[in-house]
Amino acid sequence: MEDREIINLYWSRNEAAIGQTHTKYGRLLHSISYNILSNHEDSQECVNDTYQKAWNAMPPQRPDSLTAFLGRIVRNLSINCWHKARAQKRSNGAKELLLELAECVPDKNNVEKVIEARELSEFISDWLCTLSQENRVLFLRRYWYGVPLKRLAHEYGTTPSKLGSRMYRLRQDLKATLEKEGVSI
Amino acid sequence: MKEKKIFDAVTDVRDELIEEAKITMYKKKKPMWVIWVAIAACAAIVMGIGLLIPGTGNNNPNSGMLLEVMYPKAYAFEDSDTKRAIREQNPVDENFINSIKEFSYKTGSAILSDNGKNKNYSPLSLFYALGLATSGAKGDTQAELLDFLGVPDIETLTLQSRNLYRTLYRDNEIGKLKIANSIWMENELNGKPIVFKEDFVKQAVENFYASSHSVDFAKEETGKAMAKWIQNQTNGTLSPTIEVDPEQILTIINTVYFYDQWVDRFDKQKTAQSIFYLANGDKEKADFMNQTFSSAGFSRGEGFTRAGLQLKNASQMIFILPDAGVSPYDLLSSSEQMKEIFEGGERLNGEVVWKIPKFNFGSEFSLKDTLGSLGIVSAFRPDADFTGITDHTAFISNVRQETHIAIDEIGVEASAFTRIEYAGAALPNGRADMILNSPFIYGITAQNGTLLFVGVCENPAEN
Repeated sequence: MEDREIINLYWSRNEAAIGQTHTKYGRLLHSISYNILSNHEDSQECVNDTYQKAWNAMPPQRPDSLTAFLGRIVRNLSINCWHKARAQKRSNGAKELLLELAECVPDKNNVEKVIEARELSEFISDWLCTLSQENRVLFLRRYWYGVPLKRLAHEYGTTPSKLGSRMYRLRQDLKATLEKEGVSI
Repeated sequence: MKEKKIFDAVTDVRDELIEEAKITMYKKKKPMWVIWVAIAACAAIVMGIGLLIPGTGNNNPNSGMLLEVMYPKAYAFEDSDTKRAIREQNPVDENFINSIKEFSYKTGSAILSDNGKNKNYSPLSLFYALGLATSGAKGDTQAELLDFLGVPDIETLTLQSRNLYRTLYRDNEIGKLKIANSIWMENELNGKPIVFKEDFVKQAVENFYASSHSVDFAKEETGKAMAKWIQNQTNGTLSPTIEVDPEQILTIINTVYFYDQWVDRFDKQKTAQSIFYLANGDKEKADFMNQTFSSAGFSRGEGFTRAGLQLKNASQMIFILPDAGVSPYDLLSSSEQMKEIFEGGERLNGEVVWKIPKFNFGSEFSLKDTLGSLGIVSAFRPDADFTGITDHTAFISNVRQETHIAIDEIGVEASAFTRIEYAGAALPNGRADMILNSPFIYGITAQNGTLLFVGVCENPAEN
C-alpha cells in the first residue's frame, strides 16, 4: 500500500492503518530498534509504542515521509528505553553507536556558540549533503538505521576493519567541520 | 550527555536524506545473491459466438474493418509518480472491485471443485471476456449477464473495466501484468459480408483494449492465427490448439499474462527435496523453497491458515493451507466458504515459517456448462440478444479457458532491487507454519485485491 493511502487510513481513524503500517514497516522499525537495544522484547515494545504514537499523532500530522516519521519515533523511544535499561546495567547496541558518535563532539578551544539541537540537525544535514552519495548513505545506514558494522561491510563487499576506518574518517570529518564552524554542543 | 545530543540531531536530519539511505539500502554494489524466485502465470480464454440464422441483405461496408490496440504506455518500476497519476486518473470504484471479488468466488468455487488434479483458474480473465460480450448484448441477455457480473449497468461496466485495465496494466523491468482482448470476426457468410456494429468495435477498443481481426472461420489458418495471437500475448507460455467452426461468426479471446518477483527472495541454497503428501495417501518428492519471517502477518480461520508473500509490483501471492484432515475442496465448497478463506479468519502476527514446493502446471477448462449451472442461460440460447454486436442472430457457443502457472527460481544478474534481511523480530501473538506439503489453495491478487489467479495444487510433481 502507498504511504499516502496508509496516512489516509490514520486520518479516517481506520484501525487497519496499524496493520498496514506493520505490514510495510514492521520489520524495518524492529530492525532500527533492535540495532539500538539488542533485545527483541524491548524492541517489540518500542515498535508497538511507535504504532500507538503514530495513531495519536495522525491527525493532525501528515508526514511527507512515513519512513522518516515512523523511524524517528522508534529511534526516540528506543534510545529512551536504552537509558532506562542502562540504569539496570544491560549492555547493548546503543552503547556502540553513542561511543562512536561521541567522537564527533568538537573540542572546546574555538567556541563561538552553543548550538541548539534543531540547528545541529540542520548542520549535520548540510554536512551530509557535501559528502558523496555513498558516504552519505553509509553514515545514515550506520547512525540512523543503526545497521551493525559487520552487516554493512558484508553488504558493501568489504571487511569490517576497512569499513570501520572509513567510518572513523567520516566521524573525524564531521568533528572537524563542527570545529571549523566554531560550534559547540 | 553530548553524544546523546548528536544522536538526537542525527534522528532529525532531513527526510529526503533518510529516504535516500533507505532506497539505497535495497541496492547492492555487487550481485551477491543472483538467485531469484519468480512467478509466472497466464490464462487465455476463448469464447466462441455461434451463428444460427444467416442474416440477409446489408449495405454497410464495415466488414473487414480492423482496429489495432494502443496499449497503455509502459513505465519504469521506480516511476511511482506515473503509477500514482494513472491510479488517480482512472479511479476504480470499490463496488466494482467487490463485484469482481464476488464473481471470483462464485465462479472459482464452482470451477475448482473438480478434484483429482492441479487447477489454475483466472477469474479476471473470464470477467473480461464476459464483460466484453456483455457490452454487445441487449435486452434480457444483457440484464442476465450484468446480473451475473454483479454490475448495475452497462456504463459502469465499460467505464470501470477500462479504468481497471489501465490501473492493472504493468510492463516494467521487474514484472508484467498484461491483459489482452481480441475479437475475431467472420468477414462473410454465404457470399455476403457480415456486418458488425461500428459502435461495438469502437467501444471494444476503447474500454476493453480489444483488437479486432477480420477472418474466415472456414479456414484452418484462422485457428492458427488465433493460437499465434495467444502465444504472443502470453510470452510464449501458452500455445493452444484452436479448432475453428465455419458456423462461428465471432470469437472473443482474452489472455492474462503475469510475471513478477518475490519482494523477499528465497535463498536457493535452502531449497531442498522433501516429501509432498497427496490426497490419496501417496507420496511424491518435490523441491521445497524455504524461508522464515520473524515477524509477519497471517490469518487463521476455521479449517485453514492463510498467509501471503509480497510481489514487487504490489501484488501478492496468497497461500491457504487446510488444517490437518481438511480437504481443499471443503474450503471451496461454496462462494461464501471461498470468500471466508480468502478474506476471513482472525488476523495475527508472528513468526511465519514457509516451505513451498516449486510447481509448474497448466489447466484447461470448458466453462459453458459451469456457467450455465451458475445462471447464465439466455446468452447460450439461440434466442440470445447480441444485437449490440451484430443484427445476425448470435449466441455464445463455447467458453474455454487455458492457463499456466509456474513458481520458479530464475537468475537475475546485478539487479537494481534487492531486499536485505532485517534483524529478526520477537513473537507477538502467534506463529504460523506454512508447511505446504499436502494439497493447498493459492491465489494471486493485484494491488487492489482483484483475483488474477486462483488454484489448487494437488501434486507439485505433476505438470
